[in-house]
Amino acid sequence: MDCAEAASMLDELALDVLPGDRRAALLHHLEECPPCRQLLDELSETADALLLAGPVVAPPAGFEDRVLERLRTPRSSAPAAPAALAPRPAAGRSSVPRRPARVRLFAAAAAAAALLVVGGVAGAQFGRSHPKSGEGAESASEFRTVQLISTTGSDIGDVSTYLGHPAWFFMRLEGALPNGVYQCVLDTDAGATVPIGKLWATNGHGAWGERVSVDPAHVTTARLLDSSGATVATATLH
Amino acid sequence: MASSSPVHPVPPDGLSDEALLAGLTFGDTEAGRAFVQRFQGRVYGLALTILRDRTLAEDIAQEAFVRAWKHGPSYDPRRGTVAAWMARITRNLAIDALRLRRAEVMDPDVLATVAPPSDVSVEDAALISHTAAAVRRALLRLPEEQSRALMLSAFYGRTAEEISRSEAIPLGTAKTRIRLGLRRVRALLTTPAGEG
Repeated sequence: MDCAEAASMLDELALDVLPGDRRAALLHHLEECPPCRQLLDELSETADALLLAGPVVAPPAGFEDRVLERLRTPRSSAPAAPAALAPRPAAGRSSVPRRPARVRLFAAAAAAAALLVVGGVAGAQFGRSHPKSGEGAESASEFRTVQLISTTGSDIGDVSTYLGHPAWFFMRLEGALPNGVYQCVLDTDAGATVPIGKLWATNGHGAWGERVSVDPAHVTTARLLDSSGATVATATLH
Repeated sequence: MASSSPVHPVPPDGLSDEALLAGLTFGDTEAGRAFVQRFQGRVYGLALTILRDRTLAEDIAQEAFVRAWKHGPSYDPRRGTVAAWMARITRNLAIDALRLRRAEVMDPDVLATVAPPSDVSVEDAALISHTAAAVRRALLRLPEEQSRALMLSAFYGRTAEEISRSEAIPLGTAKTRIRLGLRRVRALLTTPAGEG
């Protein structure tokens, strides 16, 4: 397939109406063609904009409570892994959308798809498959966020921890670090430094999350290191 | 080393869409409630637009939030906003419901689909973004046959082949209308107001 043929199908892929037989061939082309991937991204953004231009309508009274009631039913399993680790849906349209062409493109960087758990959101939990002791107000301690401070003292993002089973760490950059790849490490109260992953910074922004085997209760600091191994930012957790 | 690193509680209403989704996913009730409050107008509105049935639209809207809760960890911010992700979940569920009922697709009158209905609250009306307004203007500038084909695909999931059959036009013509329609909207959205 050449770019001209691909271009004739990109719009239908962006709109998620391309039949499966032609989708496979197009995805194969996209894996090897950055310009076509770029065009697909732009067309997908337009397709998203169309859907978001639909009317906003207040739902019937009580909708919010009915939704939350449904969420109190335990899921069949604990929260799944973030995008980097979660199994991808099978080919074909799914109710959970994806842009297949981007999957391979961002496979290496998919860890940046961190969901950012921000701390201090107190309250009960719903739908938890493995309730922890001390439900209720104490559960707020499962989510915790601290600021990520650069070596020059600037607040350039944050680090969030989820003290569940498994435990998760999330790091987010909102500052002015140069573009590049940064190593994420955890320092423990036993004096160990544990590398846990890499964060890609683009235009000062980046996010990363990972399930960790380190007990967050024993993590004292989380740090970002540049390519030379120098610390560029620190978050103090304990 | 940082001189201080306070834990900073943030009220759910002040959190980003991504943070609320994370809270929803990990079972935090307050974050989940805030997430539903933030997106319910869009989700229900889109379901109603596609289904034209308030009872079914509520069922689909509820299911969309359940799917978001279950599949939140698969959300990838590099592939679009949380709002767009929710919209696609809703759209796909609604299309599945339409097909299950073998319902005929309503006439995708552009104005009827994108114009805000009279029962939009002031609060929700504020959510109608500048971009949405630009999309509406762009759709109105398309040839009617292109906007029609585009809306059938974008909102109702109709393939070019299905549009070819329903509109009694050659397949190539259906594909062209979809392509030209989407690209024209894209061009208009990236063109300063008043041009294009």
